[in-house]
Amino acid sequence: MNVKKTKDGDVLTVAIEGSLDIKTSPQLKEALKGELENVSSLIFDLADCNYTSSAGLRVILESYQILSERDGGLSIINANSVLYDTLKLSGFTDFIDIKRAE
Amino acid sequence: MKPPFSFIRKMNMRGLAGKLIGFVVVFVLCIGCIFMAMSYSQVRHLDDVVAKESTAQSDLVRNESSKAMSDLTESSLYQLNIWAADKTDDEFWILDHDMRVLRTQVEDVFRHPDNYEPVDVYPPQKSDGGVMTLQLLVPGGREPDAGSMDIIRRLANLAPMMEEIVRGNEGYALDCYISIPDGTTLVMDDLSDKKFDEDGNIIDYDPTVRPWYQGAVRTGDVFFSQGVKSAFYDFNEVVFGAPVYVDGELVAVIEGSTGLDILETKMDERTVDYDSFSILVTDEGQLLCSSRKSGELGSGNLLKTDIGQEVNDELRELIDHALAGETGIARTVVDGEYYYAAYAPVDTVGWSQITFASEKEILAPSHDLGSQIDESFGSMVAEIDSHFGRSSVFMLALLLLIMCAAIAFASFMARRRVAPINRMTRAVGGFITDDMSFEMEDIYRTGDEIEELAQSFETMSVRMKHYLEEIIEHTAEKERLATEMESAKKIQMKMLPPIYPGFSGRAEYELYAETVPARNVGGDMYDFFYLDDDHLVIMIGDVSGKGITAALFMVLCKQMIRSMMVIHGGDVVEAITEANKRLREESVEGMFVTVWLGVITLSTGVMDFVDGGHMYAAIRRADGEFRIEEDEHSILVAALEAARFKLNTMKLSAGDTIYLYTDGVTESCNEDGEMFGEGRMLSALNEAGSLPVDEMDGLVRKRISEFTGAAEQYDDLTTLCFRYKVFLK
Repeated sequence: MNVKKTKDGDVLTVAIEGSLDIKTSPQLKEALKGELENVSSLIFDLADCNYTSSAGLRVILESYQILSERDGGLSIINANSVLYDTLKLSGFTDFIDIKRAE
Repeated sequence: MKPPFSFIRKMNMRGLAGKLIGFVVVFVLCIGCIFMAMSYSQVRHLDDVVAKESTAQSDLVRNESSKAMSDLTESSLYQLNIWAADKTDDEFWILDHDMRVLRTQVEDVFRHPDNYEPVDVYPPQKSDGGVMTLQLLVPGGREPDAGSMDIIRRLANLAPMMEEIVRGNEGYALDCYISIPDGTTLVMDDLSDKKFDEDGNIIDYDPTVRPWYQGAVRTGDVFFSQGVKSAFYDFNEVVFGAPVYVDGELVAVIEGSTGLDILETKMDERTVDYDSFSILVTDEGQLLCSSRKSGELGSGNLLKTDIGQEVNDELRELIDHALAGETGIARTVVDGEYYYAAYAPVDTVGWSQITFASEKEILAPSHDLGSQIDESFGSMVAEIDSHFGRSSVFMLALLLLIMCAAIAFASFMARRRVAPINRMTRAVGGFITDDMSFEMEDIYRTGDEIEELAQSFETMSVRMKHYLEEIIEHTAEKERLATEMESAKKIQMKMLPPIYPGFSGRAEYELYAETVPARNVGGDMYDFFYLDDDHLVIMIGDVSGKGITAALFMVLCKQMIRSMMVIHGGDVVEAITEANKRLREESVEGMFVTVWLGVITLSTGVMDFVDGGHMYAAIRRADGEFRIEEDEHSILVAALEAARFKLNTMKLSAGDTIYLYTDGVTESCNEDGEMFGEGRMLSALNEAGSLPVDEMDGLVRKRISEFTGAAEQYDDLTTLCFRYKVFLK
């Protein structure tokens, strides 16, 4: 699993390549460490992400929790249909802006 | 010091020591073999040199001595032949001289007959054989006339001189005749008895037809004939005659003869010892005498008119040269063998005497000498070979001795060198099985790689000890942990509500629930309890994560939800909303829990439920099939403080069955990474049909187990099954 970070002003885009599970989610957590205090907005780009388990959802949720305390925004883009369904089932679609992949 | 081989037996021959000894053996053997091969080739070379030398030497000797021998022979033969020919010539000269002297006397008788008194002469008498007698021969048996008889009687006075001629020539002259032209002859010899034939008559003899008479008259001087057969006797002779003239008129012819056998005998006396022979060849090419018995120049060819016709070309050429009056020596061939032939003239008669000497015999000594040299060289070579044979045996013995010494030495050295290695091998062997300690010792301080190795072993030994201690500690720690986990598992299991006895065998419903954690303790939960007699609460939940953290949070969630349900009097929305708030406070690091919470009014069959981020329930209406029924989904619990939860309501009829599960069920993987999935779960549920709910659940779990095979259980497997049975009025 690879994490690619792109900063544009105070908007951080994090692209996740591969699958997000209990083994790889610590890597994502490590990548986000120290970043969330310095951004106003975080975008997860799941174009090359094929799967996430509850461990992955936790990292996303935690990021949301940290950002929303500072009134920051979180959005997810390019989610494939499997990922979208998982996120919908978990109710993430109610409070996070999630866009499907085209 | 112990015998050198005792510790060979003690040492491991396949180990380093053995290899070292093996190397030494091979090395010594190689050197030995090379040395032996070199020696052998040296000796062979020596043999060759000796053989070549020997051949060269013996050839040289042969050639030189042959040459010397033949030179010597040639010159001596040459000289010898000249001397022998001279000797022969001397005899003929004497005969010639005697003839001349007699001729003078005869002439005198004719010139001065009165000086000579007539003497009576008689024909030969048989009884006079062997006695020198003067005999009278008259040809034709007639009486000679008076005139002839008169002169004959006067000539008879010369009898003493005639006798002298015959006697004095050492046998060379056989007889002596004086013949007058009418044929009357005076004979002086001791062969009276040989003149008679078988009948006792005197053999008729006409001198005028004889070669000595005719030759003398023809040449007018002393004449020697070729070899002829005798008139009276049956041997061969050379006859010679001389005419006597008085005042130009032939008055008499005198004769002498010499037997060829005497010539031959005399010739033989004058030859050399080895295989040699002499011949006498007349001026007409007649082979007069030959001491050779057979072959080209043998007695078979005697008296043939031209010996040149009977012999090979080389020989003929030689004879031609000889008859030309030459003196010389040449190498020629007689009867296929090489001979040296020296020729010299016998001047008196114009003949030639040739002496032959066999080359083979002449050269025999030098051949013998050559053979002797060969022999001596041969024995030299044999000597060298035998010496070499002896010394190679000695060499072999020496080689063996050296090898033994080398092995002994190598063993001794090997033992010393290998000792530290052996010790190390044992120490390390012990190291593995015993107390893991390897200590540096003096025996290892060899100043080479062995010392380094020993150092490394010591360091390794120390580290190993530490690691071992750590491992022992960790293992003890793990065991403690495992024991604690066992206890925790027991506690957790106890927390889950039991089906029996309170919730089984009820008329209104069937209920079954089970959880199988992936690890010792799990993050899945289920709950069921009575709010009151008519209201049954059922709940299933899944804490994010596994292990102790999830388990602890699970306990909290379960208790919280139950408490809230009680507090809010069965209002699921209220209960879960408050539980959410409180759990959000307790959750850390984005922990959340999915919850499906429902309450059934048993008398009516009405079920209210909230689905907080959990899997949709699988529902079977009494006579239908299990289907996943989508509901009004809410967010998972403990995520958002201000989350809003939606109420779902359903009316159950008798036989309707609700199957609740966690994602461990649908996401069970087999070894190929394939998931069990909703499809297989529904098939299993439908296969179960109207089985009691515990059996239904058992079948689903069985199918999961069959599907996953040997693959490890990744997530907690939790299920809750509820069948509504009675619609009480």
